Amino acid sequence: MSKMRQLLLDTAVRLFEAASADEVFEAVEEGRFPESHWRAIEDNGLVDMLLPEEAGGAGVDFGDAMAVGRTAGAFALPLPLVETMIGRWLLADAGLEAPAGPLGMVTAAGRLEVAWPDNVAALVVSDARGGVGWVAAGEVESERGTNSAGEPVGRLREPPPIPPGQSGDLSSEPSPSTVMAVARSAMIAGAMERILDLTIEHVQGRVQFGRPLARFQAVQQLVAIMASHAAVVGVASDTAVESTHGEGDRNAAFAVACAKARASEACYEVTRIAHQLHGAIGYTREHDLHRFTRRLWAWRDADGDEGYWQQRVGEMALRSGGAGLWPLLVGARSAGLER
Amino acid sequence: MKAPTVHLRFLPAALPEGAENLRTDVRELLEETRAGGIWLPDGLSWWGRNPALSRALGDAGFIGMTWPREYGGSERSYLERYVVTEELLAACAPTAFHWFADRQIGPSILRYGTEEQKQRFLPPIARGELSFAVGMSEPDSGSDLASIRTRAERVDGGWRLNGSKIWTSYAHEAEYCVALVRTEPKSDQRHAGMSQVIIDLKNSDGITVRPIIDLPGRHDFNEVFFEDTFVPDDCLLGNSGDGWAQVTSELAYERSGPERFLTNFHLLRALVDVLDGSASSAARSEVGLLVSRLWALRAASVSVAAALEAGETPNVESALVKDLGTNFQQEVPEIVRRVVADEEVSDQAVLDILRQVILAAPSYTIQGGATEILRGIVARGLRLR
Repeated sequence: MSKMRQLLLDTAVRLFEAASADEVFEAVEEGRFPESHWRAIEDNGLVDMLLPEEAGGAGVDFGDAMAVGRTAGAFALPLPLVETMIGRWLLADAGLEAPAGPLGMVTAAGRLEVAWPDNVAALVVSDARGGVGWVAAGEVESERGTNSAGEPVGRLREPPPIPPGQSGDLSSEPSPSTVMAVARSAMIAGAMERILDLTIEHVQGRVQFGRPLARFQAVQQLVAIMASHAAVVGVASDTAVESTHGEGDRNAAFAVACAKARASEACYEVTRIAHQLHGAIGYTREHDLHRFTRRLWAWRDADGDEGYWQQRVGEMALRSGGAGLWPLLVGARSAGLER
Repeated sequence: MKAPTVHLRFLPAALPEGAENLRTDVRELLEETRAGGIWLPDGLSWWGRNPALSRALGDAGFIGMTWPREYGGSERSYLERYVVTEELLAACAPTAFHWFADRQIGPSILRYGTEEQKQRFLPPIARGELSFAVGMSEPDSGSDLASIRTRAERVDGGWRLNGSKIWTSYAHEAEYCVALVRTEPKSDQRHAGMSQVIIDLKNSDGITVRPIIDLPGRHDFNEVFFEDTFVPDDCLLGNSGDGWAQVTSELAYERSGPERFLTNFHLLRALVDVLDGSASSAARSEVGLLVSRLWALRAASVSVAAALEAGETPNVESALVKDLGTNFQQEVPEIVRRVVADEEVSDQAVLDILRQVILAAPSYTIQGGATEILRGIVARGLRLR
């Protein structure tokens, strides 16, 4: 791990640990935005880490930012950090000044739903031409509800219109929906890492029939299945992140579509097994498990669920044809793919 | 709450510079040999045995790629070998003639063999001229490999073998078999007293090979009986008594490779070939499900390959990739079957491959470490046992 990434993650862990105190989650369940923790995150520069230094950011690379996103998942961070970080980055790329405060993201993928509708300053909206703009949250009508994680959400009927002068073109691929999907995959990967850790701890410590649950083969097999899904989602998400920048596979749209499809799909098995092995205590709000499993149920639908991304992957595969399928999978340049 | 403990290591990895050129080279060779009538994809995957194709691959330097030049190798990296292997699998090229020697026997000889053994066996393997079978399981020892009973007794100038091996693929055709045998009686230490021997299948007395026809109807498996079969001293591989450590040290190479999720890639490709833009949304989803899982598995497998290249021994990660990969392979024909029905696919090529793949599918999660064993290894890696 680079020194830069280690430094960032140390900061992130310190802030996220504070933001995952019991009383913070209790407040969130009551619909109260954890204002002081948000300010701490802003003050430490996390929301602007992707901006170039001359624009007041930290100029970290996308991989480092996504490592922070993954860590946010591992703490079930109940704040729109990833949305804000990406929203501010995209707006800056389009030559626009972002409004201060937390942001919501509205992209072409998945349902039109924004977390913390009464607390975000603005919604960052991607348009059909691949551009991006923003609209003040107060000007957008949405139906209020809560997501599976208990966070307030606003559901929009259609993408909100952008006022004149508040939109611009992006300098390059990948599109906002791809960027958000890979970020959400990273958060899912982080939450799964935590769920695996909690589950291992539980089955090692919980004694039934005179021995720890971990000694039962039936339990071992279930944990192994969960670990497989968590591991594959982790490496798929990291690989997709690499595809969006750097030297690797450049077919980011395909890689990210695969990664988010796989991440969303795996949420079922990981949450099912985690709850099965935790037994009744896991089915309560007294144990921490629910913070993570409930977020997985929200995040698997956010930024395009597995059905949406499987459709995209299926379209790309069928467009490539039988002969082009393998080159598509290995990201070869000889495939003559659209870049 | 602290940061979660990392239980398994899967770093994202990229294939090396020049991998693309290597792909092109393999594809060209496969196209030429196919046009020349040397091989045809037969619907049953890479499991076919084709000496002429293996010789062509050997000539091109695609066997024993990572071995030193003095033993016929080309001193390529493990990741370069990975690229060649996945290209062969994706093309459904029959590679069973050299498969076992290239993947595990050759590396074992290189690591544990004497100088004389290296010179004698490795160059002809790398030329695609010498075929090996693997003798591990026995009639009473399937997943519990340490319970093997085939014994080798010390005699003048070598060893005398008695017992039998089973599921020995291509023992009826291969020149040699590397077998795990008991050189000392069973003791309290389950893994002690075993050794690996190289058996000349064509020129030894006391060997009987009984064919076993598998589910798809092929003759691939055999049961091999040894009755006072003499194995000369120079055919002991490694140290007497180290057999268990020797066979298990190669498992990471054996388990995480692309053959664990690409075995029926040709079915998926054939399906994509017959579906077009008019395919229903449900069919697109099913194709997307399979392709996204395959892409993710490959990312995990490449990650393990990179760890191996870096000199690590990712045994737990390998077991995990094999478990997920072989389960994926088993689901492929079931999902394709649904799409074929919904889309009313009548293409005979697709239906033929589908029928054959369904028959082969039960083997995926048994061979090379059954699912339950692999999950046990993962559980141990997670400190549950």
